[in-house]
Amino acid sequence: MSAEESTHHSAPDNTTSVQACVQEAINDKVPLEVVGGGSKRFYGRPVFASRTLSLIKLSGVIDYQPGELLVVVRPGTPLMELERTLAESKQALAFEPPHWGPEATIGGTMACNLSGPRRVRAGAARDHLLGFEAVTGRGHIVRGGGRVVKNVTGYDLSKLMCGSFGTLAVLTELVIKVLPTAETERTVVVTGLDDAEAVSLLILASRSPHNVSGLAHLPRGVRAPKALSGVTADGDSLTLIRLEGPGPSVDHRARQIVKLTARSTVSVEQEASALVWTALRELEPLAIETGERLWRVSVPPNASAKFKATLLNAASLSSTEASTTTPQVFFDWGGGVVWCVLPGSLSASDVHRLAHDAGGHARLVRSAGAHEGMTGDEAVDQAFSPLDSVNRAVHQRLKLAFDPSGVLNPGRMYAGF
Amino acid sequence: MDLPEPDPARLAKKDAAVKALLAVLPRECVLYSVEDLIAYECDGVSAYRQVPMAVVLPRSTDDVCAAMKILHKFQLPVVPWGAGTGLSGGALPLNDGVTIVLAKMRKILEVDLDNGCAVVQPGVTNARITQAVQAEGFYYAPDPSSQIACSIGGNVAENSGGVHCLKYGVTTNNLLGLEVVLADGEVLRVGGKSLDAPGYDLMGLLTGSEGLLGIITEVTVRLLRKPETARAVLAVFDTVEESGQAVADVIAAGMVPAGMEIMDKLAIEASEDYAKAGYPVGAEAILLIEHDGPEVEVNYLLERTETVLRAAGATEIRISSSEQERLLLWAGRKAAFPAMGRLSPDYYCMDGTIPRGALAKVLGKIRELSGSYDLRVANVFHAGDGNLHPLLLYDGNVPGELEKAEQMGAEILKLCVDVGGVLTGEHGVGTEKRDLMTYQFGERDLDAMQHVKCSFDAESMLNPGKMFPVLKRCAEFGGMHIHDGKLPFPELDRF
Repeated sequence: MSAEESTHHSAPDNTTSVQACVQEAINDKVPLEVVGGGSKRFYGRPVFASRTLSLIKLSGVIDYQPGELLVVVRPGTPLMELERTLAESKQALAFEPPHWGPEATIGGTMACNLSGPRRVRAGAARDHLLGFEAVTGRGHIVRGGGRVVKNVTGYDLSKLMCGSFGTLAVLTELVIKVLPTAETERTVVVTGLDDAEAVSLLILASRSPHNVSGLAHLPRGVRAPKALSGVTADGDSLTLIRLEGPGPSVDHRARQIVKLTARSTVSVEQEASALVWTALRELEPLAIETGERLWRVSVPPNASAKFKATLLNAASLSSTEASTTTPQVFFDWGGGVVWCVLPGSLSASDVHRLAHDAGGHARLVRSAGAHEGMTGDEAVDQAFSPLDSVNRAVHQRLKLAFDPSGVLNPGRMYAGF
Repeated sequence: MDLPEPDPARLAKKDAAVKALLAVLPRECVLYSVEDLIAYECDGVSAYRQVPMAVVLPRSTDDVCAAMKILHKFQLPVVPWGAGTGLSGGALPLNDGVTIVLAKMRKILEVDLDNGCAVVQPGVTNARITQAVQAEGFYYAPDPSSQIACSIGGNVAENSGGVHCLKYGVTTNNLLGLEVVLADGEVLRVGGKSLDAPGYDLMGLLTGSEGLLGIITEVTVRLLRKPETARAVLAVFDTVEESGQAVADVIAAGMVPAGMEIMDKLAIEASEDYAKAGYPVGAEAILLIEHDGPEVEVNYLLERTETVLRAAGATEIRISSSEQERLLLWAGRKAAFPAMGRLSPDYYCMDGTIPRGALAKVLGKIRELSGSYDLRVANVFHAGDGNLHPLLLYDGNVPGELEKAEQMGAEILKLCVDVGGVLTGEHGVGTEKRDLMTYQFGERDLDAMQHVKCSFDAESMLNPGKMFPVLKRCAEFGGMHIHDGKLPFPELDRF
């Protein structure tokens, strides 16, 4: 970019300044790239904008009431900082969001609706956003939801905000439900299962009354979390089931789960168990080489093993190289989410089609070889799963209603809006 | 509440519209004579009745589409109706509109326990979903008190809650997919059996939209494994304030029970008289707590809860040691609403949510209002999540008393907002709280909701007159300032 076109950065520290920024963009007819810490730039489509609106200075806890199970917080607050604050009162964000970088913010987490392994039991990020304040693409400050869980007053705009990637409004305040952390945790590990056996076991565990809070499977060849080295043999597939709660309860339930597996198992507890799930949350088992892509596919759990098989088949058919590296895949959410590192030769439309055929949808999370802010990779254009015509029309109308000038993160999710 | 005058131009279209509907639907699916229509003149709010111009009873999504296309062409407003059990007047018909009743769509299409879900039609009752899967040890968690009668479609439209939503969430936290017919007859499908869907969370937006964004024609609900066991504890307190503090203490101790309910003196007296569950008549407040889950855990939690309750000043503690005892402890609470009939010819059940910490203040103010309005109030409170149900006792036969009760109710709801809460926790806005929306929300907040409405139903044909005090035209809404864009519809201005 030339000197005249150099990027203009704004980092307002209050809502009125955010509003002024958006108003300016509307008046100047210049789009904005809206970011928190910028840690999720690789996720989804890039925004081509000469102005950046960073929420990094709109930071801090406004009101934390452990007894009311809620925290009111500014979007630019680092996720690490918020989690530390909650931990001091033995509470946490139950949906266990991934960080994917030290600069992760709570605003970005909500804007992307990011949830980790405990989603199977506690729900997703969107289930914990009770209310918000935001500046719409029209430059208006709006409030939605409230500070209470039981709230059916008007449309649930919090659900619209969460997962909209900053394309409808700029979040300036968040009201989030928090929950007490469990007293103890234990992870039961089974080794050597193939995908079908593993998913069957995870489904069996999820159907049990033992309140499991983590259900994952790492097939052979996927890097095991460091916390398990020495506990399990290298290279074996690992099927992981987590139990949390008061000590006596976890003891009893873990025994039941072990019985359920009908196999020999090992267990890790407390700190070691926590490290395992943190590693999964942060996708540490997966390494992405240049030219490869990290996809997140959401499917009905009982379709996940078969989906992986069709994916591997398609990947090998698409391969033009002599190399026979098998795509790395691991399963979380009991099979409900399949994380895959696939070769660049497998097209985005193929991945979307296979995901759709399995009853789900795919999302390109990261493309190695595509730089932040620049497309080097056509797949990034189709990062999000295509919408049918009725869905697309509603999406476009919502975008037009909230951001008629198209200043907020244009093209962040789909081309054209 | 003033009801609008019907639009003669719309009334004049009745015969033509009915004829067009009969051309695509069987005779038994279209009602148009007064003696048939009168069954649908009101929902759970019986104080207000309006006979619709016609009622359509579709058998399938295709029927709904066909009906909507016709009604869209005739520009007639549509009011969706699940089971008609709602408590906010959300399904109150329009004299110049058509009510679409989803009762005939009552099939359970699929039960998929491996994926923890069931696909059902909107007319299936909430309780029937659980019945269909309980033999396998599963259930559908949101449990509104009307669950044997209310429809799942209605639950989605209102984002219904229930006693156990503190631990298990409300309807919106227990859905995986929806199929919806839009105002122009197009079908929108969101979600399915996967845990999330591409794009914006339209499913979250549609849930709780009270029939204003689309007609729900299919629901994929999340099923949970029924907890191994459940036990309840009833604690008696000398003041409501202490019972509220006890709730805070339980949560501060790191526990999230399956349910926590508080009843005040009048509610206790009424329910004991009716149900004879052994409630302590004369006590100022009781707190009912339930823990569910694996037996080991429930026993552990109950022990800890007992310790917390004693420290909080409970004068008496009863813990269930069998399923029978548990049900008995609950019997009084479940009888609270029907029991009001013994105290008063009529009662008005309010529904607002407040931060838990404001309970003492709010109940104090309600006592004051009860005095100044000279109307008795019994209080039942979902203590776990701050959802308050003041029951205002009145006699509809006494001139002016209904209006007095409504006025007092409105003051209570405003109070909820004043202390940082909201107008409605479970029942919805409907017609009942429509005119209070501007008390809770600013202009821009309502604009944002209007953006949503316009994105789904640009011509405001779905359930006009519900939820929002003023009907606005979408075409003019654009970027204009709200006052210029507002085109009041005189006949619907004040409902």
